[in-house]
Amino acid sequence: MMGLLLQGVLLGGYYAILAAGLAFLYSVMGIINLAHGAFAVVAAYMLLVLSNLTGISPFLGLALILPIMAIIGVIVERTVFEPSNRGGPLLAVLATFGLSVVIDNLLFQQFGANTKTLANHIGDLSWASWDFGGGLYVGKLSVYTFFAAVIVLGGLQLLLTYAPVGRAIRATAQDSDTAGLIGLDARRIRMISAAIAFVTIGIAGAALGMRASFTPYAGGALLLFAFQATIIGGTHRVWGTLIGGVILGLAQTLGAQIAPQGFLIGGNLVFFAALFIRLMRGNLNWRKLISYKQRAMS
Amino acid sequence: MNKLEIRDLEVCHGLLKAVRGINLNVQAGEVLAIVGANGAGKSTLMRAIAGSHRASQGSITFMGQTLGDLPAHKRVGLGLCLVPEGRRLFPKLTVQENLTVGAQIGRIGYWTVEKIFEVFDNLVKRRHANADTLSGGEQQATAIGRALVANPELVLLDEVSLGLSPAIVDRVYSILPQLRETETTVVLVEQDLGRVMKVSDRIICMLEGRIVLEGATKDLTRDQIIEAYFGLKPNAVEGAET
Repeated sequence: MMGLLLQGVLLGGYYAILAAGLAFLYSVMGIINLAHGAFAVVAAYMLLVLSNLTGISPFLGLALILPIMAIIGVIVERTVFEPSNRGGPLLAVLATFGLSVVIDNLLFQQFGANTKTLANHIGDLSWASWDFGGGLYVGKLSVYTFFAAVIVLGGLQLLLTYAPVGRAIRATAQDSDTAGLIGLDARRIRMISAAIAFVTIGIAGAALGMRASFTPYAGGALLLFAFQATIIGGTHRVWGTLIGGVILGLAQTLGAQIAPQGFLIGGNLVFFAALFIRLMRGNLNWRKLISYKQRAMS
Repeated sequence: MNKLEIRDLEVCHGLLKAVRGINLNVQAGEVLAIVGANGAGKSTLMRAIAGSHRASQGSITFMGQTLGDLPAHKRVGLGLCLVPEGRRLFPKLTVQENLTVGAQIGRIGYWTVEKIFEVFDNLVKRRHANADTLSGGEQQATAIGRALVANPELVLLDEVSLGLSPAIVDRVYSILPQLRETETTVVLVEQDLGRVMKVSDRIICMLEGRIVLEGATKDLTRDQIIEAYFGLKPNAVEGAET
């Protein structure tokens, strides 16, 4: 049982990394980015190409890929998020859905349908484990992924709380018009936010590629788990993403013990329960969506 | 010397002209009060000066620079700050964070975050409280402090006494002598005529988007202002620039 719980918690760390960028973009920019998973797959392919071409480890490759992801984030903010968000978040949802379809098909055209993985570029890390005795084995990659999630989320928390740019991001997220009245350039702040979110998406892509195999269409499943973790944990505080991921991971792991299909069913049940509670408590920010819609119509 | 010059300014809300052909000079270091009934266009004029509402016609010149379509955040960089109606603090930022984020523009001068806590000492105990937990007076003090830490040349105060008790309003207005000392120019929108006549150097009265009365406070009587305020004898009032 101990091993089972530990496995669920560590799986939660993986989901938290997947969800960090999605939750961050929604909480600071009000954007539900349905291309989130597709961009993570893009990052995984970039790491794969880099490793194949140069032979360097994907961990080192991240030093090159993450700045590229940040630049992609800025470009996507200026060309997709910002223009579509002027028509309200629902338009941004449609735009990012379209973007994900385009990315999926471009990846398919470039790389074909064969599954790929970064596992063979990281030595024995993908299968190595620590033996704690009594039949308790803990995968090294899972532990590293969990700590990566803690570092990513802790870093975001520190940035938002103590860094001047973090305070500016929070202020702009709360009231972008007033932010302008105190000298903050809301457009620049949004670009920085998008860059940060895409850096976390890049890390999610690396975790995906090292942990499992992926295809051009893997983004959909990735988005689903990231979305579930975000809804369960909430977007109003950074650590909610980790909590949401861990709850989802535990539900899936325990569900899988009951029946083979229980993995997905367990996660979905917890997700729907969390969604129901949030709808009942009214903290899914529907008011924000409606006010955007009214503003767009006026 | 004029700190602010406004020429033939028109500002629209959709099809409605909220500000019509305003001409106005604000001299350096003076306290100018704008009075008028609800819907007279006072707040719209303030927002147009601050850059959060685009003017449809006319020009605004601040310290010799024509502002044109300059966005609000760049106007703050020039030293033009608005304390908006309704305070509009960042609700989930603490008092300290609201002030710190206001100082991020980086204009060095008399006002610092600690100076604001000295002047509004009621905020000291609430330093780490979120803005949405503050009383109205504390919120207003924070909103004024957030604008002042940018060390503006000209500060626009839009209905800072709205919804506050007289004692709290006294406290909020206690900042004005220090603004005079630091030679900060002040344009304030206020409904309380008694207070306006006490604190301002000059008064303009707006009605239906136009200036219908303008003059030095010492030269105007309360009755003159009230007549202009309600539009009882709009053509009889003296000193109107438009």
